[in-house]
Amino acid sequence: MLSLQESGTEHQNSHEIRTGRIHMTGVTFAVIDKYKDMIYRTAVTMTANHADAEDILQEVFFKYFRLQPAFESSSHEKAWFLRVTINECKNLMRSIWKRRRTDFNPELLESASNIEEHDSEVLRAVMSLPEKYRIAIYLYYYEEYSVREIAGITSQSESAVAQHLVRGRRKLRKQLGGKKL
Amino acid sequence: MNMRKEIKQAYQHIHVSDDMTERMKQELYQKDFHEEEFTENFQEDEIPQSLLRKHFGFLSAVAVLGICIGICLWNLSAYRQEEVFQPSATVPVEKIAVTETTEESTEVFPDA
Repeated sequence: MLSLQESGTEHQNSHEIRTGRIHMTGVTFAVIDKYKDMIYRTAVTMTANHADAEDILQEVFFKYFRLQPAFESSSHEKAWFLRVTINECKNLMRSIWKRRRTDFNPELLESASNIEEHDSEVLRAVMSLPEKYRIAIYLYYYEEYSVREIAGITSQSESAVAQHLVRGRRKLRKQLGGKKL
Repeated sequence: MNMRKEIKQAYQHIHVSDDMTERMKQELYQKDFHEEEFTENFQEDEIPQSLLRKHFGFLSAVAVLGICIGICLWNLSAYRQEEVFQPSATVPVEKIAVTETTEESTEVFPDA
């Protein structure tokens, strides 16, 4: 359980006491540092859009601090973050008028100023897949979840996840020149 | 190098920069989560309605378009039905009947 302190001590100003502003501690920042990259990668994979991924990252942490959920284990906590991230991405993509096009460009990533040609090619190939294949590929190969776990996180059947993996792999193989997975 | 390693290596380039992390921490620190409880709940109650309104507008537009197309098609079919061949009004009906009977008697009853 995250230990957040609500400002109520005497030396805090009266405005903060009335509004209940959450006092950030070192423990809070540790949670952010632990999961921010995972959430950001998942959001980029789902939306294939940098700006949307940043918005999703903030929304997920806002939700975390609002709800302050209790977790049985660190794997439970990680799965919670992934589920919430995926749901937030789906909510964002759901609106007919706000449906985003795939305009992913690895060179635009703040963190990828020196990205190699080959890695850029792999990222472009993954981001060119349909969304349901992308997320299955990412969770299977990068996060190393099993098909059953992916099915639980994405609220799909195991057969659907397996199918997405097979088709995603096939498309990737075609795009990246027949390399064995 | 197999695909798993390639995907892992490629995804290493996707991570949150230090600037973005600091900005986010500042915003989280500034955010007042207690005040937002009521507005969040209000929004959660409201979102289904706004979504319905958005979809309703789109569906209404599609329905109106469908009705317009249906009316056009109906008018086209009605227009076609009106184009029926009518015998000339100047030829008397009796003469047409006599002529037809004469022609038919020679053909239908050859050896009566």
